[in-house]
Order: sequence, then structure tokens, then C-alpha cells
Amino acid sequence: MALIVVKDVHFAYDDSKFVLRGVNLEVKLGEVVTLLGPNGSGKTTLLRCIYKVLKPRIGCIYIDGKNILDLTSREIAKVISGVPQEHETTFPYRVIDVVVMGKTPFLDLFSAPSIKDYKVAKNILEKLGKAELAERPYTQISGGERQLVLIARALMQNPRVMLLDEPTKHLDIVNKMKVLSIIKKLAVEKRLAVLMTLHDPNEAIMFSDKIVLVKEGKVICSISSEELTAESLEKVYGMPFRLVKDGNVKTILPVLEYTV
Amino acid sequence: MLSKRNYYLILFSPIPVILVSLGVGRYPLHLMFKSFSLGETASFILFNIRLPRILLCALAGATLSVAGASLQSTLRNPLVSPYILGLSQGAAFGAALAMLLLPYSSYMIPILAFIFGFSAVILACSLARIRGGFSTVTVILAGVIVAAIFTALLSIVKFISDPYRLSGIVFWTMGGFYKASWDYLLLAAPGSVTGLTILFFLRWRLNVLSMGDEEAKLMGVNVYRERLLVLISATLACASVISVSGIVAWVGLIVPHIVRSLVGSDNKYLIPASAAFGASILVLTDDLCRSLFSFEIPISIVTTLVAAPYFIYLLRKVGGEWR
Ligand SMILES: Nc1ncnc2c1ncn2[C@@H]1O[C@H](COP(=O)(O)OP(=O)(O)OP(=O)(O)O)[C@@H](O)[C@H]1O
Ligand SMILES: [Mg+2]
Repeated sequence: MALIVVKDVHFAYDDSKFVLRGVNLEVKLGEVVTLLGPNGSGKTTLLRCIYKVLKPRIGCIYIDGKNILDLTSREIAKVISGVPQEHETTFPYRVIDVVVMGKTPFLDLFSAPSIKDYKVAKNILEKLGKAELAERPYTQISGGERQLVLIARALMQNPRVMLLDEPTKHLDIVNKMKVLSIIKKLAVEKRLAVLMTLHDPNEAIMFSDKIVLVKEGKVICSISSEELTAESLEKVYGMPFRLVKDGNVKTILPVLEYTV
Repeated sequence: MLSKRNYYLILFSPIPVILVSLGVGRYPLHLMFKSFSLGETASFILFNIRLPRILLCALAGATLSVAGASLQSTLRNPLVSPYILGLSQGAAFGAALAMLLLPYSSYMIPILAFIFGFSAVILACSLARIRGGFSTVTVILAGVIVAAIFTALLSIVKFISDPYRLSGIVFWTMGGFYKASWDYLLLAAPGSVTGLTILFFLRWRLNVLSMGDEEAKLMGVNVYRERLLVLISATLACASVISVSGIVAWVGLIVPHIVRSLVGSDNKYLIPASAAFGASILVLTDDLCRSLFSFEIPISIVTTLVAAPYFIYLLRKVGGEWR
């Protein structure tokens, strides 16, 4: 059964222009779905609608069969966790203090995480291979390390759905592969539904079950990752691509029309 | 946390500070004891003059510091404090207005101080809110505007009140504890203890609020409601104290910074440590004010002279980190 259902969602920040124009989408249990599309096509906006930071003008979003308009932020946070595209750091909290914040939806207004929660947080950092960061101020680590810390915080929420807005941003190639593998593994093992945005079609092919191509606030097509073709990408990005096959590894390369 | 030892040292610092401060004053300690019991004058000075003054000072220091730390977290802005946001000026105006309109019902002073202090906070926050967020700069600018408005309103009250009441009203603009008594303490305590208690229990939540509206919401926080609760509690606590002490500048800004550098940013430790450190530092400052010269120095003058250079140092040292 689909865990997230997006039905005919229209959204506009101001009345002049619709940023989302009738988006339909489904994410099932244990499935990794990637949104792929040009800058400004509305990917971040769609994710924000799903975690109810923005309210669609038209259309509905269902989580586990329930309309999100009937759920509180807390009820939503018990099911969905996420990492936004941009994070502005504030006070120099320790990394472990940031990770443990993922416990928030399960705590009352007047309580704090227990020692056990700090242990869980530490385990999650360990799984991501970043246990040594725990005591460091999170304002003084690299952008990629901070990205991992925010992913750890999202995992701390013990979610059934993860919304990740460019989870590989700032990461080096090894950490990109590592993080995406972990996400993929979690989706399979813990039966998580993952909806993320990426900018690299090859990462999308490697790690997602389904790819949703987005352009100007509309879903152009929703296909399995094997079905992604150079033509479909060209339609979305307005630029030619070439598909290279090496055994059963498929790579998509942009065709440069411009010469310097 | 940076250091458990620092934390406990700070937490227990008010006890020795208060004990020592009881001995500070014009009337020397060694004259207080006739054989082994206190004389009548001495016990009056000790229990009816010094003790309430010291306790009020401690309460004010704790309140302003905790309010400062809480405001900094909820508005995710390290440069904010009750004074910079205009809360203090709003509360002082409310207190002066109560004094002008209802001179014989002193319990109205903290009530009006709260009403106008809260109006100032809400005004500053709504002026500063742009595109669903608070930017560091706009909050400060909005605070400057609101503080200016309420300072002007306070001047009007000064202008139209008679010379007798004027001295009382001038008091709120300068700040001081020389009027302290058990009555004053009783006037301030209910509001400030209530506000402090709420902020104390809410303190871990401040960490999450400081991650910004969108992320806090992602973690299930009802941002609007919880921020409002923080603002109300901080205003209640500050307005109650300001009703009896006047505006004491800078404490609420500087103390959280010093404490952050000693125990770390986690509000779970920052809030209690700020309360203790604020209490100690303000009691010590007041000791200086009443013993340095043959006359009393208004406490705000001292806090400003001490805190401003520290703040400049802070701005140079870590300003870049906070953009
Ligand atoms: N807060 C906002 N107010 C007004 N318009 C906005 C706002 N945020 C985004 N937009 C507009 O909405 C459109 C979609 O933005 P969105 O951030 O969803 O794109 P995106 O697909 O995530 O792009 P990117 O790949 O660059 O992250 C853009 O045209 C952008 O200018
Ligand atoms: Mg985006």
C-alpha cells in the first residue's frame, strides 16, 4: 500500500505564479523514489508540502491513508522525518546534541531525552561511520559531515518515511555512495519509504526504485530506474544526453553542444 | 557539555556570593556582633535591608539571564536580550504608567509592566518577521525601533508627572536596587518565579526551537505555540523584576554568552547555569555599587561599562561564526 499519496497538488508562493501545477505521486513501503528535475522545478516545494510546512492551494496529501490536514505536526513527525535542502547553523551545539533532537516528536513539552536516547544517537552516528564527531561543535565540522549529522538526526526520529532534499549535497564521492547505500539499505531492511531529490541521474539510477521527472511544477513521467532514457532526460532538461552501456551498468552522460 | 566541573561550580556560586554580600555595606560587620548575638540595629540592617536587597538582586540577575538565553534560542539570534528587544523599555513604561495613573495600588505595577513589555516583544517580533523567518539583523533593528518608541513614551510620562513622582519614574530608567525591601521582593517574586519555572522545564525544547521554524516543525514542534509560551514566560519574569528594579541593561545579553563559553550551548545546562551565574554576577555588581563610593552608583551604569567592552571582544572573536 502507498504510504505517501500526493493527489493533484497545486501550490503557489504568491498569487502570480503556480510553482506546483497538479502533481500526482505515490511512494510505497520499502521503496526509494527520486525526484529529478532542473533547478527551480519545484522539488523542494513539493517536499515542503508533504511535511506540511506549506499548504497546497488545491489537492490533497495522504500519509498512511490519512489526510495531512487532519494530522498535527507531531503526529506527522512520528511518521515522517526529513533533511531540508538548506541548514543555517546557530549555536555551537555538540553533534550528539543535534542528533538526539530527532527524539523530539516522542517527548512531552517539558521533558528531555534520556541517557538511553543519547546511546541510540551515538549508535546511529557509529553506523554512519562518524562516531568520532559526537563531542565536536556542529558549527565547526565540514559541510559534508554536517549533512551526515542531519541525516543521523532524521534517522533518530525512527521514521517510516524519510524526505531527503539533496542528501548528497556537500558530500565527496565516497560519502555519496555510502550515504545513498545506507538509505537504500534502510529502505529495504526497515521497510522505509524514501522520497529524495538528487541532481545526478546516475546516482538516481543506482539507488532508486522509481524516478520521477519533474519540470516546471509538473510530473513529466514516473518510471522505474531501468526505464530512464536519454530522451526522457532531454525532454526535462532541454539538452541532449547519451546513454553508455558497459555490461549491465548504465551510465548517462550529457552531450556537450557548447565549445569553449 | 564542555565541563561538568564548571557547571557545578557555577550552579553553587550564588551561595558564597550571597553570604559574603551580607557583610558588604556602610555598617561594618565586626560592629554587628555584641558578644555573640546580633544587636537590634544590626539585625534590622541585616534582615530588613541587606537580605531583601541581595535576594532581589539575585532574582533579577537570574531572571534577566534566563530570559536572555531563552530569547536568543527561540529567535535563533545570539545578539538578542530583553533590553535589545525593547522588552525592558516596554515594561519600564508600563510600570511608570501604573505609577502615574494608579499611584496607590502597587500591585498594578507588575501587571502593566507585563502588558506593555509583552506588547513590545510582539511588536518587535512582528516587525522583524519577513517571509516566515527572523533574520538576525531585522530582529535587532526592530528591537531598536521598539525600544525607541517606549523610551519616548516613558519620557512623556516623565514630562507630565509631578516632581514628587518624577523621582520614582526616573528610577525605572536608571535601574537600581536601593529601594529593595521585602514588599518589593514579594511584588516581583510571583511573576518572575512562575516565568523562570516554565522556562526551566521547557529548556531542552529551546534547542529544537533554535534550529529554525522549518526544522523544528519537521521534528513535530508546534513552533507558533511553543515560541509564544517562551515569549510570554520570559516577559512575565522580566516585567515582574523590572517593576521593582528598573531597567538593568546588558546582563541578559552578556551572561548567556559567558556561560555558553563555560558549559556549552545545550540549553539543558545553559539555562540553570545562566540563572546561577546571573544571580551571582548581579549581586556582586550591586555590592560594588553600594560600597565603591560614599554615594550609590546606579547599577545600569556599571553593567554597561563592564559589559560593553566584553561584548565588543565577543563580537570580534566569534562574530564571524554567527554570520
Ligand atoms: N520562499 C519562496 N517564495 C517565493 N518563491 C519561491 C520560494 N521558494 C521557492 N520559490 C520559487 O519556487 C520555484 C520552485 O522552487 P524550489 O525550491 O521548489 O525548486 P527546486 O526544484 O527545489 O530547485 P533546486 O534544484 O534549485 O533546489 C522557483 O521558481 C523559486 O523561485
Ligand atoms: Mg530544491
